[in-house]
Amino acid sequence: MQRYIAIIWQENHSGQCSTALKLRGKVIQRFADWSISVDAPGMFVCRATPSRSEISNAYVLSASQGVVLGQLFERKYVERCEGAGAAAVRLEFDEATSWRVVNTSGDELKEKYWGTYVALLRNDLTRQKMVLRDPSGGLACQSMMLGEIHIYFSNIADILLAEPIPLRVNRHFIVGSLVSSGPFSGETAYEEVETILPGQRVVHTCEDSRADFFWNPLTISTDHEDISFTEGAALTRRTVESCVHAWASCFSGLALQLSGGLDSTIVAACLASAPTCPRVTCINFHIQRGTSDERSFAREVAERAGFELIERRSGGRKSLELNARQNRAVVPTLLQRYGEWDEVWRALRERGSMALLRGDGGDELFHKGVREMPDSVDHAFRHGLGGKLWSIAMNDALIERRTVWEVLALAAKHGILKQPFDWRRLYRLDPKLKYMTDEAREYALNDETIWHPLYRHGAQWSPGKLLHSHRFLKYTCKFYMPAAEKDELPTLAPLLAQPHMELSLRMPLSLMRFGGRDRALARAAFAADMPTSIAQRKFKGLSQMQTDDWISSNPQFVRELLLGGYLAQENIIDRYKLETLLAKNSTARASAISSLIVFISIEAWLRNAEVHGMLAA
Amino acid sequence: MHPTRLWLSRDWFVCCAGAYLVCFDTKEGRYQLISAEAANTLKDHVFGWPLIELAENGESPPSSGRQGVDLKRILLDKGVLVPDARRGKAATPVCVQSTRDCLLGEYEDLKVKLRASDVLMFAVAATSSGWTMSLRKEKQIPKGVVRQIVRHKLSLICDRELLEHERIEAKRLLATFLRLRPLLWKSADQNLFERLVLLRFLKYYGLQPRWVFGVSVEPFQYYSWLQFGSTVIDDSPGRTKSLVPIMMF
Repeated sequence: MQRYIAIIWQENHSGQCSTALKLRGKVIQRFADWSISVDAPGMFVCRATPSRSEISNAYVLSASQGVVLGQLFERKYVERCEGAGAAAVRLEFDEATSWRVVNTSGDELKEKYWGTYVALLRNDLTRQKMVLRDPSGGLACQSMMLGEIHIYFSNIADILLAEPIPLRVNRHFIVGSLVSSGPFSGETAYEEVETILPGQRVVHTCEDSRADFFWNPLTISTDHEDISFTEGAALTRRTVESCVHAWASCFSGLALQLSGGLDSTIVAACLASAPTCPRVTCINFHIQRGTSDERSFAREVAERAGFELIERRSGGRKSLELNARQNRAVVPTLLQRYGEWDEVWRALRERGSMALLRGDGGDELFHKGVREMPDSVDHAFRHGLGGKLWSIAMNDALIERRTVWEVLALAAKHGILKQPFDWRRLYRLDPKLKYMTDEAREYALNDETIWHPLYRHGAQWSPGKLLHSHRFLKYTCKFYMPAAEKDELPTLAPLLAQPHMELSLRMPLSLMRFGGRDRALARAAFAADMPTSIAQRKFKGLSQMQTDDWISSNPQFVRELLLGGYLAQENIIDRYKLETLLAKNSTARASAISSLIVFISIEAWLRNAEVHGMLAA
Repeated sequence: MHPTRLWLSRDWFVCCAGAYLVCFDTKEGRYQLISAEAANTLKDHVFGWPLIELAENGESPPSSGRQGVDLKRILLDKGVLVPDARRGKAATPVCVQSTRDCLLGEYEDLKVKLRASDVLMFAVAATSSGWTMSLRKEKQIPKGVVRQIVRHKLSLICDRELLEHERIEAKRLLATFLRLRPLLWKSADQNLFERLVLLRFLKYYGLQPRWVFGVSVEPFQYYSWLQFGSTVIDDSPGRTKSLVPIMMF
């Protein structure tokens, strides 16, 4: 993960200048080996010296107009399907380009480039400073204030080394995240720290600071592609392949987390055809129980692509306590560090891997579908009653195992009559809510501010596209890498590339689930490159067995952590229900695993924050 | 002294899945799991009782005579085991051909022209199946259903593969079925009913697949599908291979 610190202040304000310069001095002293990218009135940016495998370029704009940190690719190469050509070109921002980037308030970046980046821009004429985070969210961007100056950073531990700022737990976020399932509002688990959401832009002027979205998935989704299924499949293939090839060209060796599902198989297929021919090593975690063991699928894929496959048994008796120490992010992240990752990182590095690729976001981008929101609703919303509505409704009924009449009723209600669809009620079905206290649950369910700002008032958008985009945006917001372990490789989600996200938003939902198959476009696009068994697969193995093993083998630790922890003490979760759940012979535990792991993750995060002295007394 | 030999009740079926013996009661539609160690104690007491191989590192606990007596008594009381050969059968698990392919692979396979005769046969199959199932909840397989299927079909069923013309016809019929099903019922919670309709629909055209019921443990799941030889009719081998067949008609 690229580490950086940026300080932004108003240069005509003496108080802010004084605070900023003091902090600047501390940062330079503390991080003497870091390089300074911008050191100008109103803005200071420095970044850690990258290791060999880190994606950590700094595209400095001319005349100290700012810097773009991360990895950029030019969009024209995706449009020309020359993915590998993108990274081969060394990007430089000359005077004209720098001027355009700054004077379009960063819009030039989203129009001409894609990648994973944080842009810090300053406009000398207007004295505006802007911070932008790319739509894929691959590079973290948190912010906090010190007095009246703004600090932006990727790793909170860095800024606390330079300036120890006591932090307080943000109860509002903790409660809200149990309902919304993640950091989608811009808040973090610390009151003093906010996160810049993917696609968001913060503009600092002399008077104030305001945030907006320079990349808005909902407006993009109104621009529909009017194409056939075959054309759609071809376009999907070209776009995905170009994006994966672009990332592949940055590394001579790569690792791929290969589950044997459709998404990671598609990434594998693209890597196999990458013009730069990186050495690819696949890693598969499995548990030898029931449907959770998908090694046969992973083996088929690896063999077909000619990649080495490392198989690792996951879960089991690994100490939960050890895992709990590894969590030092600004939000609790799920404790999914199953298996012997230390050994895995070493094994992958020995094989020349410089980054780990995963198929994250594929299910949502390729459109697996939402039972409560058939595609015919989206079609009816855009086109009203029309010849195709019947066939789309039949397709929905086939996939979702409903009657066509139910589907048409929904299409009429929310598509033609445009009655608002409260998508948030889908979250009321979340099993975690059962274990919350009534007070905490009602408070969260009625609170608008826990949701992503773009989705708080969505009446004017097609409910189908609103849900579709929200589901994969959750991945971009979640995709945050906490402080890396010693040998850890940077993790990338190549399917969450901006060009692919935009294509997915513009593609009609009914085209993406066609002929009775979910993710039909993706299956058709890559049918020739994947084993038939995976192209036809309709179900996935259950990964929760790994977590169950984990929890079962640490019962005492789990009881102490949860029953004596913050969530119980703050009356957020119902202690009595939790005691029953954690009882030795509880049969309800198996179905509550996903909820338990979230609670454990929160408590482990809090414990870490205390242990590392990050919290105010 | 030779131990009394018992039989598995005709209403029950068993299979070995993971480290368990899974027992299924067709009368109540319930499953019971018996650990391998306990189940193996009955090996010499029940005709055809399977022996479950224990895990690599698991030492087989000394089978106590008392443990075996207790389990035997419990199963006799529950009606799983019977002493009378006339009311029982050998407890040998079913042996089903491993599935290799499925009938509908590509999305184009769903394109089919509906014929009036197909629609009529579909309606007849749906109506008769609805009567048989009496639209009850999914858990139970009524005895009537089992008897009906077993009575007429067992003699016709064989384990050969589909011939080419049969495959084409079966694909056409399945596509027809899938197109018509959404007009009548939602299948999300009526899996047994739907399979029975499909089974009868295919039967009217001379095709007689096997109806296979399978289970997996950890996590526990049960599921059924139609199979002709090694071809899964209404699902994919990826799904069916993860399950152990427990019952078949």
